Amino acid sequence: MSDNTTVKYDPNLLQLTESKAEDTTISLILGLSEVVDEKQIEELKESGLQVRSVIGDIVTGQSQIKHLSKIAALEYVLKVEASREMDIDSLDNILE
Amino acid sequence: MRKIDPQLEFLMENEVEDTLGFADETELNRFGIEATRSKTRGKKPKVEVNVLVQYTGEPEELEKAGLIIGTIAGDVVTGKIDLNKLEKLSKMADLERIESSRSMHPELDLSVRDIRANLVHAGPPGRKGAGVIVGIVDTGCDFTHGSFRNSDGSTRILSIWDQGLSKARGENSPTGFNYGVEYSKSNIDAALRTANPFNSVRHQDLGEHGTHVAGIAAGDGSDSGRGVPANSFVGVAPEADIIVVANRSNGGEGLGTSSNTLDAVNYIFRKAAELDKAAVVNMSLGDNLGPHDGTSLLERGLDNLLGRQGRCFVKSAGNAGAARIHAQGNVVTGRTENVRFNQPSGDVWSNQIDMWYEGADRFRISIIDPSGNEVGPVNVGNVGNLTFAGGNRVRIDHRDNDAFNGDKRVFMTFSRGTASSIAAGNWQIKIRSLNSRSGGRFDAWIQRGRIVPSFLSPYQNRSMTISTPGNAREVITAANYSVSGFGAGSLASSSSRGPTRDGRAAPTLAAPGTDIMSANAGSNGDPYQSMSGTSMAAPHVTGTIALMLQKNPDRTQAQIKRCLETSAREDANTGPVPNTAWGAGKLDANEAVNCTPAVIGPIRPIRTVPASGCFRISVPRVACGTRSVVTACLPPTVITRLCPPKSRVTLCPTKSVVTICPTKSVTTICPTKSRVTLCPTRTIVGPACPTRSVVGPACPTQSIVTPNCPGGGPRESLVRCPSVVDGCPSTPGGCHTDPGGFRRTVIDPGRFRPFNGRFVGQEMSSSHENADGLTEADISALEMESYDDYDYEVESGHYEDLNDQLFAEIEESQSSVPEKGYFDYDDSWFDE
Repeated sequence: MSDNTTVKYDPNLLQLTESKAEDTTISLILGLSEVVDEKQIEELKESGLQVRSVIGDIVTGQSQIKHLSKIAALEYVLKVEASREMDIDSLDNILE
Repeated sequence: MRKIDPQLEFLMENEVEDTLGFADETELNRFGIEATRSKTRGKKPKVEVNVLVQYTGEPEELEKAGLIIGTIAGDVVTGKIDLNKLEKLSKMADLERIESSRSMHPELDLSVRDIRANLVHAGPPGRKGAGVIVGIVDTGCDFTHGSFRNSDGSTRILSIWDQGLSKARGENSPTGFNYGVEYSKSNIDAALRTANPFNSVRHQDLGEHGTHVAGIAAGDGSDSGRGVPANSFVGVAPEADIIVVANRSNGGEGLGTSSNTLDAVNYIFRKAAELDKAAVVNMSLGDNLGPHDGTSLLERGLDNLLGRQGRCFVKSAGNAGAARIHAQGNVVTGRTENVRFNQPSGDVWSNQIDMWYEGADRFRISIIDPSGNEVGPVNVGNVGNLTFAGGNRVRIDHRDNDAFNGDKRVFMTFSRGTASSIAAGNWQIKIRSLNSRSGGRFDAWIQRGRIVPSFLSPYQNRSMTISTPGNAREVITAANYSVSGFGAGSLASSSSRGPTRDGRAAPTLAAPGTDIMSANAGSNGDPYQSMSGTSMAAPHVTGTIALMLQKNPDRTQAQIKRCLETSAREDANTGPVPNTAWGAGKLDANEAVNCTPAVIGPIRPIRTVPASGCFRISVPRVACGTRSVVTACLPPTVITRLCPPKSRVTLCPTKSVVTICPTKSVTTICPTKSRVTLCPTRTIVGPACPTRSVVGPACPTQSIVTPNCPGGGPRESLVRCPSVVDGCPSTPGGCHTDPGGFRRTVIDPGRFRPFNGRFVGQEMSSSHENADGLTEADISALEMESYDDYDYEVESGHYEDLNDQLFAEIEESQSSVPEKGYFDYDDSWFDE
């Protein structure tokens, strides 16, 4: 983890980058150091992120693994998190 | 303490005496217990009962005692047992309680009555959520179900976004999103007119969960079912509009769904803004990873989406209260603590444990498997991919200085490796503290999965089990209690507990969630089914918020949350509240709605104000049947924030924004303190948005009599200035230059809502924050003041003592730009 970019990956994302092919598309949530502006959005896009939602200092999008290091290298990108499964909060899958 | 519940005891006693006399198991079930009675020729009938057992020992011991185990869920075990063996079972040392598995008669109408939403429905004025959007982020929703259709057969669903579908010909993704398929109301209506609606609207709720959740929040129960007539299973807000997002991933568009969740909530709020409606989003989904302090990216994103008027979000607290997924403890510097967890057998899937500790502390982590093999240690900043002698593997990713909370994180992934499964038995996380400067506290959570381990004593801890993203600062979380059957009124042991890891109160409150009857997806079978969990509690809260927003669509999440908390009920089951199990207590929809102040005055917001000059506001005939008093331009006393070029100026004279109702209204104006934010325009020249403190004169009163007004409280119509999120430019030189205000900034198109009884100046100040030179304390004080005090009417008069120079500038600009006109109710601009 000496790489300055991979330390920004959350542990799940780091595992995915090590185990999946470079052209695998991953949905992401990015945590930024500030409220993102138009210029930064353009930079993110140019780095390979397909931007979906821009919500203050949080951005969602998708990218192939091969683009991740470029995205994470942007100074204002503090954290890159792989999307993970949200599970239902019903008991009926365990107590019938 | 007696371990067997009274119904089982009764059954046991009478069975021994053979006085039961039940004809068959139907009779037994009518008695209230799920039981079977079989009779072998020549032998006494044998009665078997389904039970729930709270038990902390080894499951094998239960089987030895005669229990045929069905499911193990944390410390709760379900199963079937011969009635004659119950006494032996009850004497087991690690057994705390045996309950009968009761024949539930779950009814949504019971829970709706329990939260007193039926009183809100009845009124007067009756409120059923009309005009408010209930957003469902879930597995989807069966749009063909009668509960989501109008009496003419058309849909109540405004749109469906199925994130898991890939576009077919003629289909589109929502604007701004490049995945999934969006179906509009017209798409759905067209589909419903065909023999097979799913041919054209391909969305189906295969999980059934979302349909059930939607039915609780907003179903109208118009289908008969379960042997009862139509309109029995009516949801909490049965007249609300509905937007559905099937929170899915189709793989090709990216793995995982948490990112899609943010998109889903963003989408619903955008849609609501386009329609100028308030919206409350329900999310009965979650997971166990993350810091549980609200700093996960998903939680931060949700917080960023909230804060604006007419936006609310509700999350189920989670069902991990008894699942032993959390461990907490402290390690002293130089000492080692072993955190034990039990791994069930047959687990071929990976498991994850996410541990967090203070940034100033420093641990070293090793793992010991059930055979005593130890791997590690892994120090801070390192990743260890470690293999045990038996072939199992563990990856330990030990992070330093999280970007959003500064803490350290140990993320452990256990996999079977070359073995057939993860070794069953007791594993240990060995924590060696090199430095416990901050106290050495650690918290660890086990991620959900098909087969998951559970923490063991002494570090197993049921607190802080609210699932992610329920620890977000703004989010409202719902715990689960039962309303029927044995133990009615008590909290489900499975309901997750607070607080958050950073010590904030959670859950917010509790709502019915056990054995709730609601809409069933699919055309086969009954239109209704029963489900349990905090998933079912959350939509009771969501529906209630829809009722509150119907009364006042301008309320913010914080205001709604405050009303829910202050109106929640305390009883013998809740004990003293607030607490970490019930939150503020039991949901009381009627009191929550009563707590919500009604919209004062029917005036609509001004979207675009002329560049300068005076204008009039025309008050519609909606509420009072009268029009506003409109005066000509006089010395301006109302000054809104000016944010060129998008939004312009509202400069009106003392009486131009008026009190219109009731017939005899006496308006007190001029509060002693107010703040006004002035921004530059062509008419007011000045640097970027200074802030002025204005002390008003002694409060005069003003009587404005308007004829033909029906009764009711004082009404006022206020011009609300645009806030940062309502169209102000974010470019330097404009009003919005302060990143610190981002929590109120949302990127989607802004809208104005009626501004009722709050200071213009306060709103401006809160949206300008640092740019205005206000401290957080100032803003907080102003916001509190504005939220809490609705009694005074202010709009005219309270800026009267602005300095003469400013007035002169304004007057000059007005005279030079004589544009005049007014906005009518539909926001159209009319020239005078």
